[in-house]
Amino acid sequence: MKALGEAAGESAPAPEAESVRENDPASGSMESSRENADDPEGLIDLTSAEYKAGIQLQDPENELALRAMRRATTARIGLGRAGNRPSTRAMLSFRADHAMAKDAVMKPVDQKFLDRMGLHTVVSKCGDINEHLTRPDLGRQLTDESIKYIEENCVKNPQIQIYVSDGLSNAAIENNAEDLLSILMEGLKDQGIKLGTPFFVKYGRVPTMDKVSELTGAELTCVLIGERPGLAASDSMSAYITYGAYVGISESSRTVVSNIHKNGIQPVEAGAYLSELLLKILEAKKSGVEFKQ
Amino acid sequence: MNFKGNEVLSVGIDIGTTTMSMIVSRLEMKNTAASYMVPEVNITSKNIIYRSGIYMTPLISRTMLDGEKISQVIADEYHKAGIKPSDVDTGAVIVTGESALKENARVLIEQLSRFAGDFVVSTAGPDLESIIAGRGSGAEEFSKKYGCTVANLDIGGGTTNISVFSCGELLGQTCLDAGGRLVIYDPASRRISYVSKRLNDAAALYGASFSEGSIADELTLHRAAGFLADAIIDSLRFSHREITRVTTTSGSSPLVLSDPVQYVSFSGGVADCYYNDINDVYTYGDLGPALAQELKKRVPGEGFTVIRPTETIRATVVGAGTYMTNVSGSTISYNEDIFPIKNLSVLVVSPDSEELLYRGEPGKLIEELRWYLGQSQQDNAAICIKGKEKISYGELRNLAESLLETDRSAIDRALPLIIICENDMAKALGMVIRRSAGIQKSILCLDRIKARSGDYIDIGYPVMDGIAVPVVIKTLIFG
Repeated sequence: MKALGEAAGESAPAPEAESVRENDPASGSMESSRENADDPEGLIDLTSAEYKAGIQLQDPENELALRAMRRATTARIGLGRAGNRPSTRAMLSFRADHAMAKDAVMKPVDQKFLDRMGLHTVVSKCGDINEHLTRPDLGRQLTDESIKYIEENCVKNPQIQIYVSDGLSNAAIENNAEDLLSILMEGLKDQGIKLGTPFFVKYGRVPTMDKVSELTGAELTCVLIGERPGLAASDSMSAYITYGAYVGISESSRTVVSNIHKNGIQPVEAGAYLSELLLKILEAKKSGVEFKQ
Repeated sequence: MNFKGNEVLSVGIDIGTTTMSMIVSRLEMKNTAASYMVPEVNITSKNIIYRSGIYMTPLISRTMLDGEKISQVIADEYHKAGIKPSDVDTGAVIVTGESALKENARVLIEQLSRFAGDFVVSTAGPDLESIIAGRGSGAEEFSKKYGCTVANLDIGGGTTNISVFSCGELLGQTCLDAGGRLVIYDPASRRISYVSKRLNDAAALYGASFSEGSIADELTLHRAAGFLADAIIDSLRFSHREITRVTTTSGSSPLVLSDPVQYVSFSGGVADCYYNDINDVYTYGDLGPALAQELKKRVPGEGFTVIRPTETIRATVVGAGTYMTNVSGSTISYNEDIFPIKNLSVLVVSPDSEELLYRGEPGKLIEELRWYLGQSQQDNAAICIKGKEKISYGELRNLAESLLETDRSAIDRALPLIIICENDMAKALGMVIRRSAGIQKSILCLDRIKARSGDYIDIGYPVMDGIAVPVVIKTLIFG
């Protein structure tokens, strides 16, 4: 299944694919699909934009309208059926997308990527990915070692603390965080803002930012975090922003900018927008529902 | 800063071969994105608040518009509508129909500009007229609502403007020199006082010709109208006969369709003859009723169904008043002192030189821009790029530096640098350019605007607390 996903042209470096095979029970089918790709009949990549733009329904009443609707939505419409069941192709496409979504959750963020961005990794109290998925309460807390690292190495009392966290999609971080963070940090620096030291929180949840805020003494905290993947996009990232965050602060105090990915708002554009938004929130001294944009 | 709210007042004026009219509409803009997403401004409603009567177009001679009288009509209509020129934010004056009439259109537009407010544009061009009429008639909306392919035929005095829409998307457009007033005669004596040369061009294919001074009997009128109807119907087919090529208006080209036309709607003056079944061919002293009858004869067997559009004779003016104005993406970057911008020509950057910009190599664009400014004898142009769906920060910086370098080399430094991208990335681009250019330089970056080579744009005062601007793209300025 993963092989199908990669064929869509997403640039997943080879070493990652190796690690996926170990984790992903579906990867057993990979060799057979590779063989099929050489089939003279040709095998369609079921995760590709080309496949998704097409319609599978046989003899539609109004093909023109169906095509227009298909273009307008990522929902699975016009799939056709075989008796009571979806057609094989529709089913496989569904499973291929599901496999990509699972990969996005299960796979760790590539260390080379974090090294390139110069982000030190701290970790929540979750010991592994399964604990991360089943114990959100532990995901909100940081290990003693992580706390010590932040206390000893990060800028104290910044106006804005920005950091990155995997959340539920490593793909979101790998595909979007670097470009967004670069333009955002430079944009804020230009405005003379005192910025915190960015780092990476592994197995983090959104409210982990409250602990980060307490530790750094930041006036405003912003986390770039991977969203729970859906079947339409597995690499969607969000920025959650909280002014004066503390552990236990209400969720309504957060402002969020979501849908940051290639087919949503692209990372550089989101970065430019965020740099203005963060300044407005800093000035208003409030975030979330209290803050009117 | 002169921010407009979320409403703009738009005026449409259509001056045709035979008739002229005006409408006033209110365009409402809203942020249509969910609260947790980046704002996206769209025009969400278009309400026509005033419709003028239909006036016969004042002419000095067959080929000269009477600017004084036209201005007077518009001034009276402004008064009746209860609006002042200073209330008007956007809109369009369109001079449609026979090209000969457009000779003094430029002078006319200048005479009208004092009524037209700060931001009403002059615009023309046969293809654009066709698209505007198709939108104004409601054909576009019909194709979207019922998921079908609709051709709108706007048949006026001098031209037939044709646009084809499929499921709300434009498939193609064309314009024919075929209209109700290619022959004019006295309704009483029936002596022909005028025959358009373009009609005789078409008639010559059949070995026929029509001459001024002769008497227009029913047979003659039906023959003449028949040639035009042949051309109009033929132009909707996949492959065209000679008559379509001969009749096609200069500056336009025959339709190339990907889907067959399923429905046809008629607008323009002749549409009223079509839908209202005017039996007396001599009613208006022209070809209108005969043309409607000839079209009606040819429709069966063509495989499409005729529908009635929402607007007939006012299709073009409604289109001009409500469909010319777009709104840029919410993410724009600008200096505040450069609005409004009028009649700025567009340089569409070739894909090759755009690719070089991402690598930090502006040489090819500088050459292109210098050549373009020299050719068009202008000192500035909007630089129009496609942009990328996902651009890296490195590429973005290269692009910004390249564009600034281009600006330094080819454009007067005192002039604003104006960049238009199709993809949503203008805020990021504007921010990075601003960082290198400093605060003195005027910069405007807009996205979600698609322009073509040869287009001109007008950009109005920012709306919605400054997060978007109204933009009008037009194809031709007189002269």
